[in-house]
Amino acid sequence: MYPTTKRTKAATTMAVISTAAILLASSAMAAELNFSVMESGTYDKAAAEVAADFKAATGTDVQISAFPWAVLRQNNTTDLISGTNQYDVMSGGYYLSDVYSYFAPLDDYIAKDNYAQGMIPGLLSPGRSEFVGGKSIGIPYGVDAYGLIFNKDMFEKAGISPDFASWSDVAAACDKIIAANADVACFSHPTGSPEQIGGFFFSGYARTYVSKDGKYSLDVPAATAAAEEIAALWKYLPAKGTALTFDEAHQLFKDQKVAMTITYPSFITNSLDADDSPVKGHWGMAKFPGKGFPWLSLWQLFVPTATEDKDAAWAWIKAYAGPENAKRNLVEHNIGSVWSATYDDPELKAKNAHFWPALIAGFASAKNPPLSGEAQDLLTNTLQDIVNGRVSAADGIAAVESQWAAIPVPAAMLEAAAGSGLQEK
Amino acid sequence: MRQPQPYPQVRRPAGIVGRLEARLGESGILLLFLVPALLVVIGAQLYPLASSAILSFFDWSLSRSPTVGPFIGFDNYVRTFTDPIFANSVAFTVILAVCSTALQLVCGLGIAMLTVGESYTLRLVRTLLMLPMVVAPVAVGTIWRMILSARVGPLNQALASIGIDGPNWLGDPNWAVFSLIMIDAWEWTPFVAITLTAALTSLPSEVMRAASVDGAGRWTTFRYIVLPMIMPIFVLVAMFRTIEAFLTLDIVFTTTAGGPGYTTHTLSFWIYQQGLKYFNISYAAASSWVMLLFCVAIAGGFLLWRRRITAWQVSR
Repeated sequence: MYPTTKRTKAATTMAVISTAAILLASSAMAAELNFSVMESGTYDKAAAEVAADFKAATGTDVQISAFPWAVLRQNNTTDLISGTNQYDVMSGGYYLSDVYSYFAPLDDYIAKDNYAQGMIPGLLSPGRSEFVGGKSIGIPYGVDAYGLIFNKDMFEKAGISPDFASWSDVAAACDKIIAANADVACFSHPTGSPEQIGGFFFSGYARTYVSKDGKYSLDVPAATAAAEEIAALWKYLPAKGTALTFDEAHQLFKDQKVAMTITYPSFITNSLDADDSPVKGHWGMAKFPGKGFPWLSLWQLFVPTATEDKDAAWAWIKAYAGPENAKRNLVEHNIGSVWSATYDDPELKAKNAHFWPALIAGFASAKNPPLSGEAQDLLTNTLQDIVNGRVSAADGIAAVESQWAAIPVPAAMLEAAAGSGLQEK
Repeated sequence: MRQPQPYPQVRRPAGIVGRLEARLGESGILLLFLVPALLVVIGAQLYPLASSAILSFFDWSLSRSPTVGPFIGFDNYVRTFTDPIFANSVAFTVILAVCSTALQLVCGLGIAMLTVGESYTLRLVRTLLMLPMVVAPVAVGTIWRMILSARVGPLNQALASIGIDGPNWLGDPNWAVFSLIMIDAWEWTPFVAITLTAALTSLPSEVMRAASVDGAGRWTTFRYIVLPMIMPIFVLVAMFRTIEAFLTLDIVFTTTAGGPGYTTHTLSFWIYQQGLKYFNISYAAASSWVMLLFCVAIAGGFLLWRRRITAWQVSR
């Protein structure tokens, strides 16, 4: 038996008091919610602002975990599949289709709060936002659709109207643009992000992606023609422009070295209208070419089934994605509002008259392809091989068609394909 | 005359160790002491290997189900050998491994010949040369991606300043392949150089002096004495670097993401995508086993070559 001194007694008492204090403090700690979001300087910043207000109003501390897009996608899927369950609310889009079954249906919450009222019509429907078994699992909070942004002066000089029915029309216009504007390339695009080439294909290809019997399948002649159109267009990129980052592609347009940039408008419109922008007042947006659809970017919030406090998660969704903060998020962070009322705001309408009509028209027709990550990567990587001359359009599309046969269509994607008219009838 | 001394008695340890040694013998007790380490090896190495081998015969995609699907025999292996992207990845990986390793061996040997010695300057140079090797491969890829940016990267800016129109390093399929070979060689040449420097330092000085006395020139000494003597180490280094090149993932991920298209997909990158992006666990396991067997065959070839060289050296 160790001898008990006054010092050891005091130390023991202190240890007991400290442990009790820690236990009391942890039980009295504010509720906590973990939220995963893209680290973009926009979505994460907006979340931090809303989180501060949210804590003041509800006492719930929202921990924001922000990651670059690819990391966010990987972290979200790994968190769900491994059962780590670190995040209570997740940001994502249709590319999470492989893990839709891990998300909780939110229909009851939507109905209880009549949440869809006032949202852009059709946004909360299969093929645009995410559904499983007919139940809504994704709540939209940031909308964008591929856009064609053009330099008005260069178009005027070339005598071109920015109304293109197809990518072949764009290619034809490129010849005139280059002839009329010295040292200018026709267009820029984030070619270094391999998946982005899909934006051209989805709009140029106006057929289905899923066969009657529920298999991934293309209309091969139509898909080949669409791929050939893209390959022809690729010749009009700037010199050494086949591995551009988003920033490089956008800067080329700002520096007036290209007449068009084809990108997600929310990434660039604020900077084009900044006071120091050389193209301020000299740019516009055209209706997106092609008979397919502009590629939709619809950021949504998902609640994993493992989230313990779903009411708190829903409260956070309403605070972050609801109409109250929509205007602030749009003005300060260029997060495309999913609420119709934002686009009726007279002040914003007047300020953005040079591109909002085309942008809003894009929202109305934009969709997501009903493709799993594997199926989409196969298509877009093959398209990259086609435009780089590694394989012909016919051989490349035939290869996609044959390899898609081995890739199962997730149930949620079948639902989306049927809902958005992208399944063969 | 001194009397021969008897060998000292070996003292047996007392207590439990002594009793165990008496029962199991010296070898037995040594084996017993190895058991904890063996258990760690089995747990950390053999179990995952065996588990992945078993999984490769089942149909399991984590995105479809959290539990393992039905037994499908060799279907995953058949798919591996008929998958054009897998074949494309094998082709690029072989090109990367062969070209990069060859470049590393040539440059590494050259650097080793130039920096062998014990002067302060040479030691400093060797330390500096090690730097690329100690940078995290992800950082290496990210730095090189910026350097090789065709339009705004410093390399093409530097080339432009001397009137050379730099290529589209990462955007052109052929240049992308070349760029990755160059990056891999840049990162790992120091490893080859350091290892070969150690080999050169350990060469017996008498042989060199004898060659010099016999009038052998520098090239003759290198060709007929130095190279044959360091050959076993050279082959070993070649084996390490070839196998490592087969495992290249991080620099591909950070520079080209396997592109343009499928141009720079390595085997490891493809397996990573199948397993951790698309969650096709059993297909990734089958592909991994094919790659493992491929690497074992390569290692076997190199070791056989090394044995023949050693036998040749002994016979001389």
